[in-house]
Amino acid sequence: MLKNIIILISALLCTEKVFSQNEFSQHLLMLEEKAFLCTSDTLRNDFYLQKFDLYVQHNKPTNEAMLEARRIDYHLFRDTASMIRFLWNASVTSQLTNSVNPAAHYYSSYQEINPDSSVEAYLLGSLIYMDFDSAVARSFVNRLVIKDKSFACVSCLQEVANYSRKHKGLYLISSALVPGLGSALNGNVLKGTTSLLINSLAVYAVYVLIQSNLYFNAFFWGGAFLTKFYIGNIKLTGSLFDQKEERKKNKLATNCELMLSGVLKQHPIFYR
Amino acid sequence: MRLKIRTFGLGNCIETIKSGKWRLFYFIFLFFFEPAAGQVNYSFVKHLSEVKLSKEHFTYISQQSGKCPEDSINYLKAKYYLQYVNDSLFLHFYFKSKSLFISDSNAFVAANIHFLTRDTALQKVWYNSVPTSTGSKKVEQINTCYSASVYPTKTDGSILPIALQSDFARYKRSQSKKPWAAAALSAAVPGLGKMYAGRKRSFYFTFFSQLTYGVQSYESIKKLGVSHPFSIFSLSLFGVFYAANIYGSYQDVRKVKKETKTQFLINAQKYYHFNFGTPLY
Repeated sequence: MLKNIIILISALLCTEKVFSQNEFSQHLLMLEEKAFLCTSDTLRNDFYLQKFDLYVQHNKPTNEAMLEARRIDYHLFRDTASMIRFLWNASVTSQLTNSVNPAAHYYSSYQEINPDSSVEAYLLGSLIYMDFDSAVARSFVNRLVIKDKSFACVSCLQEVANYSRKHKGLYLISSALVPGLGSALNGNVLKGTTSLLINSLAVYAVYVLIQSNLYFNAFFWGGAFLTKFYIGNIKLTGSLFDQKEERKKNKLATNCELMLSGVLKQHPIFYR
Repeated sequence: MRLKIRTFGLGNCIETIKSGKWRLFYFIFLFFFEPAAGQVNYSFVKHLSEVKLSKEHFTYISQQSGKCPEDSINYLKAKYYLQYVNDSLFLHFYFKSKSLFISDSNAFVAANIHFLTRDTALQKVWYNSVPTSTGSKKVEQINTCYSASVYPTKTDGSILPIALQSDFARYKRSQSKKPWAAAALSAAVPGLGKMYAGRKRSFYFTFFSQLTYGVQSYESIKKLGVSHPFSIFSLSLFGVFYAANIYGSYQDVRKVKKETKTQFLINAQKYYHFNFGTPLY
């Protein structure tokens, strides 16, 4: 009886050590300790891979996962299957953490070792290269379109990146000719009218001052304020033009995101 | 029954105990001797710090709690928070392991350098807690620099390193300036207070703007009379600008004082980091 009580007390004291190994961070620490004590580079590399896999299993594509991926020398893997699996997972993690260069590096290495023509691989390639090399991204999209025409929408990302409104100069010139016209043409009629009113009042004020023989005042108000209002009106047109471009771009990006999420729902990219 | 138990501290790993008799012995052994067996593997901690594995680093320190002396754990936590820049938590654990932390010269110097440019309240708490005689010349130099930043007029700049002397001289000059004197100068000659604060460009701009306002007010009064609405409007503009220039000069001196202090401390931190900076572990 006494023996069992002692065992029970001791077991209760030690359960923390026995069960806590299951916890994610404990597991990471355990692997890091093993890697630290390890004298062989290959074995150490295996432990790093195990740590990276742990992040993958727990679906945590974080910067810490990227740190582990960077520590791994995939040339030290004993079998090609592990190398291929790592390169794929590292590509996905890099893409999810917005690490553009590592993503392109891992993905190109993956394709070099294991030429993969699956929809999943092309889709990942097009997403990775969209921010890295638009020509390569387009080639991936073209290959996807050959497989299934519904993938044509993937190129929307490129359209969003390349989108810009045309004829900005025309809007600026129109504002220079008739103050407020550029702002009105940009869709902001109220700001355009206010601009026209302020500039007209400033011109009138200068005219009245000259009529009253207040030449210095006319020079001062004309030089300081009229110029400021006039240039301000042109600058306003420019900023309104940019704002409209940004709004349009955001709208396109939202639509593109919706289309892409639809594609990714149909053809999800999984860790391997 | 096979039971696997891992003890972290000594690195000895898996014990397989089959017989009931040995199991009882092992548990009694663990019960009495396990706390003594818990030792911090400092080379492992150093490795975790160097690779910047913050998650594992934190887990390891937390795991040692209860196994190792509390002082050691607090010391490790203080170093952890110093590395991952959490000043308030660092100070919390530093005060719990003060003697141990001070004895680690690398960490102590690093903390002193770190606090040169930190938030003023925490900076004050830190430097007030530093013992007057630590035995470390590096720490004494850094503290002298901090004292110079607090009492610039009482400090002789020559005791500071040559590289910091010009910055300190600039800071000292700015500290001797009085905001009200700048305001009075600006009241006498518009913009002169800004010149006094050390902002020459601002002086020229203010002076000529004020002059222009003055001339246009004078012109309107001369031609339209002082009671004319336009003259009143011009004079009001002139008045507003005049008052704003006085207030701006007053604020400029205060701003310059702060800026030169910050610049001095940033340069001091860079200097000490370059000359005294050593790895934390």
